[in-house]
Amino acid sequence: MSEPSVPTQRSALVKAADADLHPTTPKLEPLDDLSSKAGSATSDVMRAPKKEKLVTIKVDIPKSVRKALSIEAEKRGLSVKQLINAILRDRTRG
Amino acid sequence: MPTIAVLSMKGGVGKSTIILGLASVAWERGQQALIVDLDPQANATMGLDVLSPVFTTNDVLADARPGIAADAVTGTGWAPHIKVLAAERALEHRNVNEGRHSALRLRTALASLPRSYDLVVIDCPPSLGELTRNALSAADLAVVVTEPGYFALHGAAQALEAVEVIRGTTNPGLRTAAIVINRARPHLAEQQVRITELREAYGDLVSPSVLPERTSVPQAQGAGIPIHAWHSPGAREISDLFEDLYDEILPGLKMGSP
Repeated sequence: MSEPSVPTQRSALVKAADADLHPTTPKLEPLDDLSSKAGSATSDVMRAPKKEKLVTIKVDIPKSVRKALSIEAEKRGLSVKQLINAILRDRTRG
Repeated sequence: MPTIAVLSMKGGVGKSTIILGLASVAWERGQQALIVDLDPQANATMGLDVLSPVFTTNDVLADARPGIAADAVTGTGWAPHIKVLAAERALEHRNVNEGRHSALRLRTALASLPRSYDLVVIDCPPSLGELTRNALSAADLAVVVTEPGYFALHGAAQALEAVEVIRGTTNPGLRTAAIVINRARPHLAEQQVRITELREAYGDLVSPSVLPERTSVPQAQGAGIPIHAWHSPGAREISDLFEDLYDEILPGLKMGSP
């Protein structure tokens, strides 16, 4: 005689990752992604930004800002480093 | 039971008013109704006196597992037998193609849920995007709303084309139940011309229940109550017309029908 099967509980509905993101928020493209595309095809060489040497800068920021960055990065599906890169590039037009 | 998508490609013609009117008839008759708000403006949600829903159609479509919509069904301020899948501004994120079977996400998420209700009504946004495709793919009937004006008539024609496209692709069982003329002021000659044009073009598909513009409609919406519960001569006139429209679209659900 086979053992009675135990029904598995499905996980409940959760809020969508973008529920708090305003629909007009621009979608930022991270610097890492742009660099990785360069050179994979002739047209990419023409379009993509030149692959740049990466440097490290150290900045002290409040813990609350770090937390806000983490939340924002998760909403956008980016790492915190990718998000900071994208924001700095956007603000400095670098 | 029947799932009805209410749509128009022109904004501001009163789709949510029609939704709330049909819900008001269900409220008056004690029938179980589920309103699915797929318009990020969330006007139907607000009209049902729902202010801060925990889950919304944005969450349902982002998840889209079979039957998951049941987790998001919310009570309304109207009565226990009138329920809503509420909308929110972030629903706009779902108005893009999300890959294979993107247009079937609502139908999948609803699964057998509509069978628990006498009536399911879906409020579409005024666009031909993915939310409208989802609504039409999940519906049995489409109701097109228009004003008697030049631009609105073009919007109605586009909505009817959209129904045909969906019927030919994701939902062969879909059919147009009615074209409803809303916010009519029949004493205006221009509007009479447009109503005549509409009847000549679409014949019996145009509902005989022409809804006039009455101040009681926005008043009831602002108060978050059914139009049947607003006591004024204008509200009674509109309520009677909604009863006629309800019976026209859903003849099997007339009062006293099994």
